[in-house]
Amino acid sequence: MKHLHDKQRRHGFTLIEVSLSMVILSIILLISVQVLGLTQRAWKRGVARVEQFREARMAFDSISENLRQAILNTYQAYQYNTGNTPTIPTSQSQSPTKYIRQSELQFVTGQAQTLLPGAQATSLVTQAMFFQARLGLSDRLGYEGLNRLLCGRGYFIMYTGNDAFRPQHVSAQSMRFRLWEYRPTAEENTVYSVKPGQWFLKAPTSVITASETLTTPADTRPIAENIIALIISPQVTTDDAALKKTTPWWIAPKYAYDSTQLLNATTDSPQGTQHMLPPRVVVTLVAIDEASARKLAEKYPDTMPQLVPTGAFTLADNRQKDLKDLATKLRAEQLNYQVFSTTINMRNSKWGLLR
Amino acid sequence: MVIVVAIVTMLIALATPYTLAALQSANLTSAGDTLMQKLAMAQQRSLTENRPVGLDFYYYTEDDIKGCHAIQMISYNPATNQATQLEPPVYFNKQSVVLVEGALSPMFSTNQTATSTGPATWNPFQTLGATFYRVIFYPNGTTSLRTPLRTAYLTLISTKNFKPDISTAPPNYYTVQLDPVTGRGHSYRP
Repeated sequence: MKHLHDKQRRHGFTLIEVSLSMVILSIILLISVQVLGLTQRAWKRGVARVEQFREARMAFDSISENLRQAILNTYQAYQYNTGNTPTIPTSQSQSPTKYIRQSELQFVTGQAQTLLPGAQATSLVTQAMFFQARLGLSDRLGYEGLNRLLCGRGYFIMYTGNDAFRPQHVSAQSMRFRLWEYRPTAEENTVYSVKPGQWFLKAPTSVITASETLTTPADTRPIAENIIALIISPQVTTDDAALKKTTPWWIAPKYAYDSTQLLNATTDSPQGTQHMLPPRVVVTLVAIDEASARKLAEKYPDTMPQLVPTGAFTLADNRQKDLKDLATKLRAEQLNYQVFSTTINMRNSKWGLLR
Repeated sequence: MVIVVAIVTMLIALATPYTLAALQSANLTSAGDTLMQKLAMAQQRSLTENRPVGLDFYYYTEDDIKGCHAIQMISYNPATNQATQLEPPVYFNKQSVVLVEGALSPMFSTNQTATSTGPATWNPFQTLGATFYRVIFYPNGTTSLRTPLRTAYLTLISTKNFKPDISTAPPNYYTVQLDPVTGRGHSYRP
């Protein structure tokens, strides 16, 4: 009988065995839940990264595509005087002095705060650029087919909220670094009627507002969020630079380039780079993801975060170093970032022909 | 044995709501991402092919849920007002997701022209009695939408959260805003 009882007992588990296995099972479950949680967080971060950088990549592609089409329509004309309109004689007796290169259009890059002074200047970071291209925008319905109309275009980064345009059910306002596109229509292309440098001045004040209507769409519109730096460096080809025994960015050593100004003049080339499109433009865009932007907004709830170190991106010689410093700063803030950079060969630049 | 079965059952019972919620969320994300991709692709195709390319949104009732259940990319000829299918339709209801009408999706609620909406002209949507709303992308990057940016959005929700005339956003949604002027899409998630 005792023997049988022992045999029966051997088939079951003791309370200690069951408890122990439960404890082990619980530990395994706890670990799995934590691992799952971590994986889910990493996955979410990955998805946010892909989504965020998709928007930045599309904006970058759009900038590249439009910038490539920039045009100056440069021509040679008699110079009669040295005023604002040197090719138009001021009197019948004025005779031409020489041939000069002339254009009414403008290609301009430089520090955003310098190019766009005003109340919004403190919200602007890094650089801006403005140019004309055949982008075919018109105010009028039914003119969509005229896709070669000459229009102004510009890009800059401004730190703003989204009160004016976010959907009603999205309650939280988000202050972000946004990449803005200034896109006046052909009808608004005042480049011929005003002094150079004036046509793009209202870009920061033309941003989209809550009172935007169907018939008066805002000229300045957001094209990507969380873009913290836009760096535009007009350059010549490396062969050209080697020939001149200088750097490719000698035409804009401080990133500033204005086709209407008499810059880089020499005795061989008295007009320098005036009324010429640079043959190449290196465009660099630095984006962070939405999760990082949220973290930044929590850390700096009332002020604009200073991500770009002071004095960075003011000298083209230091471009690589400044980019490295910015990357170090972003890593120190534990922000996910991506740098987009490309060299755009300007289709309409007649550098070799006009020099 | 009984204890093991009981524990496993308990675990399954505990895990099911979370798993279902995760699956619904994944479906919503996938459907929203597809919509974003199609919008970007339509704009890109219009630019590269130098002709208007559109996206048709088909609204009909399926399983007692009224809303947009499918989208389809088309090419559009403004001279003849003819649309040609470019791709097979993408169905949201296969992912248990619906693009709702009303306050959460005001994009198509105003200023519709005769060419941008109407009864579906080809099957299967004609048989389903669907109404289409069309967004056309032009080669210069603009769209045919006639609405300010602040009302140019559509919201996808899980069919589980669907209510007729829904006006407040459920805990999880995928809102896609399309800039009528630049054709750029932007997504909002809670």
